[in-house]
Amino acid sequence: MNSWNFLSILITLMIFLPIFLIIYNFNIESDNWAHIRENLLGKYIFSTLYIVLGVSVLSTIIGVGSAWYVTCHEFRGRKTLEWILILPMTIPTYIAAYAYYDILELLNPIFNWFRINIGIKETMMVESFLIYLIVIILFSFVLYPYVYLSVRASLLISGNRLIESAITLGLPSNKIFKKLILPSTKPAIIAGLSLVIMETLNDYAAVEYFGISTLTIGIFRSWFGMYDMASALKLSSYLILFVFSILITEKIIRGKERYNNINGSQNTFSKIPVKNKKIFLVFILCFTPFIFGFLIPFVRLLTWLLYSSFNFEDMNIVQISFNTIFISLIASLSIVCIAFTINFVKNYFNNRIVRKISELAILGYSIPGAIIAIGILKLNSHINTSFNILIIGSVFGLVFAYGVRFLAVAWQPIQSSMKKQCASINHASRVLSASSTTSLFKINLPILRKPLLIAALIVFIDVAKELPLTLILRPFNFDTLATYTYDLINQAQFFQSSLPSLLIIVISFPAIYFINRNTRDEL
Amino acid sequence: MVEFENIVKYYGKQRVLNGLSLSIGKGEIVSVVGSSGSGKTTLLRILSGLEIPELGNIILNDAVVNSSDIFIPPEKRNCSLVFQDYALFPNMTMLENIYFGEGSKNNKEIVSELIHVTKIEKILNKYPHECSGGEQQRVALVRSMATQPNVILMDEPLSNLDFHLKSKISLMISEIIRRYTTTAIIVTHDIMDAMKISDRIIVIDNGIILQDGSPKEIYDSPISKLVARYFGETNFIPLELYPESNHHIIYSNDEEPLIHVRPNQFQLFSQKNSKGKLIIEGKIKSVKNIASDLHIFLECQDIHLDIHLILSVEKDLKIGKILKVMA
Amino acid sequence: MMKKHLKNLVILHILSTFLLGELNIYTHRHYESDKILFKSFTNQTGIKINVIKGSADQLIQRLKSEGKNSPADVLISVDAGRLVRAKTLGLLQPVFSDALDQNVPKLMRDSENYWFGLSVRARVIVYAKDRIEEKELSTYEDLADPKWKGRLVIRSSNNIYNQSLLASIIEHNGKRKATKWARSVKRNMARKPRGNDRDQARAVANGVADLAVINTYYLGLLANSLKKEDREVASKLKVFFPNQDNRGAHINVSGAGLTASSKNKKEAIMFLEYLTKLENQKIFAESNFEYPLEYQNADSEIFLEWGSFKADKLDLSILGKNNLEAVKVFDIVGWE
Repeated sequence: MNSWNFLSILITLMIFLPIFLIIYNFNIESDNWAHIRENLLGKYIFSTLYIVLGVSVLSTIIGVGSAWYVTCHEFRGRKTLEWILILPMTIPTYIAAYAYYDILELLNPIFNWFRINIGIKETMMVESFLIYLIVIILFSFVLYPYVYLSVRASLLISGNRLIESAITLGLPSNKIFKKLILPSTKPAIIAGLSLVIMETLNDYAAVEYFGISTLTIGIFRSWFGMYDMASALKLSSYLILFVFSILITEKIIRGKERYNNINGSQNTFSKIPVKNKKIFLVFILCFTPFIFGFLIPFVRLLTWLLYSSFNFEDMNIVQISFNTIFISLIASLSIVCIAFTINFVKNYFNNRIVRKISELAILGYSIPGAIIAIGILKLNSHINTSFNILIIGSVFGLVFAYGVRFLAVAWQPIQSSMKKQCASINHASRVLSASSTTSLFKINLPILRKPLLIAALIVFIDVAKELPLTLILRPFNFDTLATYTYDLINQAQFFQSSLPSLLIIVISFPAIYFINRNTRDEL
Repeated sequence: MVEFENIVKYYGKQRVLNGLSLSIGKGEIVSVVGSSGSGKTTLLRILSGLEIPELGNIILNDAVVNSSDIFIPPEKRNCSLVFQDYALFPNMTMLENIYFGEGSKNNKEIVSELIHVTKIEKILNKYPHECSGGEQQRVALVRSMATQPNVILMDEPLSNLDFHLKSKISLMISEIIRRYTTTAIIVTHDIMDAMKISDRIIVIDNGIILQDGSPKEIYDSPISKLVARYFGETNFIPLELYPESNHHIIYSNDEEPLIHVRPNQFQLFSQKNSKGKLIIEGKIKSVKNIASDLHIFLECQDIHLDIHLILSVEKDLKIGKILKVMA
Repeated sequence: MMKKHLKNLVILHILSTFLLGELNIYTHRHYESDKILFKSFTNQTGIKINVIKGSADQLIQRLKSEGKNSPADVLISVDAGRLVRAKTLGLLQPVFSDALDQNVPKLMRDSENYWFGLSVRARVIVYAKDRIEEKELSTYEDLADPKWKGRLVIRSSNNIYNQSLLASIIEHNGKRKATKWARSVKRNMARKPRGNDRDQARAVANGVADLAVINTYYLGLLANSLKKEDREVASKLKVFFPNQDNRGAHINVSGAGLTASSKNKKEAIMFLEYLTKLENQKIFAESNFEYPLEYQNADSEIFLEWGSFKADKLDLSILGKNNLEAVKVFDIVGWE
């Protein structure tokens, strides 16, 4: 075992440790478990299932539909749509939830009429249904970009060939979609969808506000309400089981995907022309996700901003923005470095242990941030008792926590492009007796510049939006835009909260711009 | 120079090398021939250190590089591999590629000579994607030679090349290798390519060696039907039909002994040279004119066989006609 | 500029640690009032205050994991239950200070001086002025009466305020009756619980329901909001203090305790004394509309408008003790 392999295993285990500490505690018995199983578990599981199913269906329709039109068709405004469709990604679910929070209040007169004339029970049912619907719509419209991006990338790689062959066979557009595009992009859809599901499960603030008892809510209720960590961890195990089954399905379906049907010539991407009468329809269709996922919340925040009264001299909003950018940059750089290094080691030395064990490091993304926080606190406590030092409360601790949660975000793009672009080249470098450091810096780094940049940008956006981990693990006097927004919303200062919310979105803009440009160029 | 001792390698549950042993001397140019999946590429990757066998020892230049408790990583074996897809570094110019290998900068004289011999002077400042397959192939070869390796390994060096480039480059390869007296192992699925480049051919199948010999030996006396077929369509005639034949005979465990006659060994029957020859008569089933040769299938009812033969005569041969040939 | 900023920071840091001392606070309170008080404390004493805001449960978890190395000196919570919990986990230490004994009434602090109340919150009924007469209202127990069917809104039981309220009812009426009460209240709800206390007030103003159970200061915040709609909501509502004829209205405190690991004990005690001082108590009232510890003597305009009230004298530690029971009761009756 050389030092590179050893280092990779060490880092992997370090990142896996908090997750291990969560899983390890699963079979602790607790007095309240029977109570939870009897009264709550079914409710938690069903409401989680409703939300996840609804969001899955809707975000798939939106993501796949828009990707299909924007990537494979030619019509006016297509180029603009192509990138504004990614924008909803910048809006954290909790901010979208608050921006949409009083939509139900608008319906109050109708409910009041309903309540009096039809009945309380019926009204409650309708209302419950509407709440689920709103939450599903809300999540779908801000999370669909994960599906959109992944399907678009897959279409850019293989869509050209499919469409060309289909057109020469005289297939109509809707048949091309049903018979060719849908089956061939299935792995991409599932990959994007699994991210959507994980983000949905990660949410606490939005479902809490709308009064939906998902598993995530249940975890907190057991932990905080019953002071019962064991039950909280047990519920987490249900959540993790759920996510793992999704991940495994993804792996099986993705395993069938073949990379060798890549067809390069992007310059001559044939697009299906849209007929004149349909242009308007198509445009509206692709514009709607942008309206609901981005424009409405964004404009809402802007109008709140007009009402807000920020005293800029007093406000440390500049400092907070600086903190956010600073921590997001450090986190994204370190995470990409780690993902890059471990993938390089895995690819270069092809050590069996590293190959198997490195998968452990990316489990964190499937676990809600707040549960990861439990793991980190547990780890902190172990380290504290054995070595008498604290890992939390410093920027390092926070970055470490982000690493546990977001390594997978950087991992996927780096792993797949390294597999595609560097596998035989690394072998060549080895047999030419070049040192591994030379291969790393002179070959892999320059070749993978773009995927690395994209990975870093996505992590950047994710960290800038991150709330639960930051909230509990941050150092003294340290606020990010996300925690500050949360703080203000907690005080019901919606107007005031608009500025930090908008800033989260705005600092993600350049990242979105680069992601769009680079994903297009690269393929 | 190179010793493989009882190498066993699995991919998952599939056994690709099955206790293979092989010894190659210094300066030898050896071709390893086999169908795809026969384990030939795996052999190269194991020797270069990119794969680790489950069992077996490898000795390279008098040093054990692989055994149950020793593993020398590829970068320390000085055993250069030319990849099938060339694996040039896309972010470097051809010259940078050539001088990438460890120690290549100390061999500047040899490198410039190599550049000259392979005629790649003009593309040295270009990037791989700007060059043709043949050019990339030559750069990959020079890059591997530039480190003055103990042994140079080539994985299907000719498979991606156009027909007209093949003979040119195969000549170049054997010339370069001979000039610098490097030991070479070349993997190919095309035995004709192997015959052009190497002085020893090893045929492997299912992870074991079927036959090991000079090109002539392999050509003249293939050990089995499988080896014989590497040279294209050929004829196997039961020995019992012509027990006195002096042609090459293939013995195998599960079949009767067979006489092996290549299509181009046949000629039109003529009484004066027919002594001791194998004489066959049959009805012409098909005739095809390829280049200057006539490729004929003869239906021989008396021996229940179709015979494939190639004649280089100008003669009016129609389907259905009876033809008598000898070999 | 950055450099200069950093330099200043470093100097300040060194100065404050060696000369003035520092104070590290974990707090669940995220109010403007606290910002004002922290600032004036620093101005008066020169002691720098470092803050981490978060939910009390998570902060307790953090404290626990940091053990004796925790940098925190003071833990501030928005309810007594969490302080009781921190005490049981051994995260707090008792403080003996005459000033604190004097400033904080016995009812508002731990019997062994592990924690002290800072401000008082009353959980009351608010009702729509135009639809309900004050005399129709009486007690928390009365909310279970079928006459309120479809006329009541209250937030989710995930919230600590509701958990504490039910914990007090369990203590007074027993678990069986409390369960019956929770079940009936659930049946009377006009809609499924969602949103915070402010949203409940809004729902009553908008005619969704006739009455809501909320903490008083939410109404104060609405009445003094910059937003016109909020002030209109407040103007339509009136506060009713339940159970005035028997045990009194349910109250809780937002409170603080000195952590067991505190390394700035002296400063921390100074800080607690400062917050409980009469004149500073006013800040809680003026800025956040919470009752001061001496809630009977509160004389802000809004308190006078709400009227004086009798508070439940229940030992606040009981709220923490009964919390689990309360959550389970909510679960059993299906109050989400």
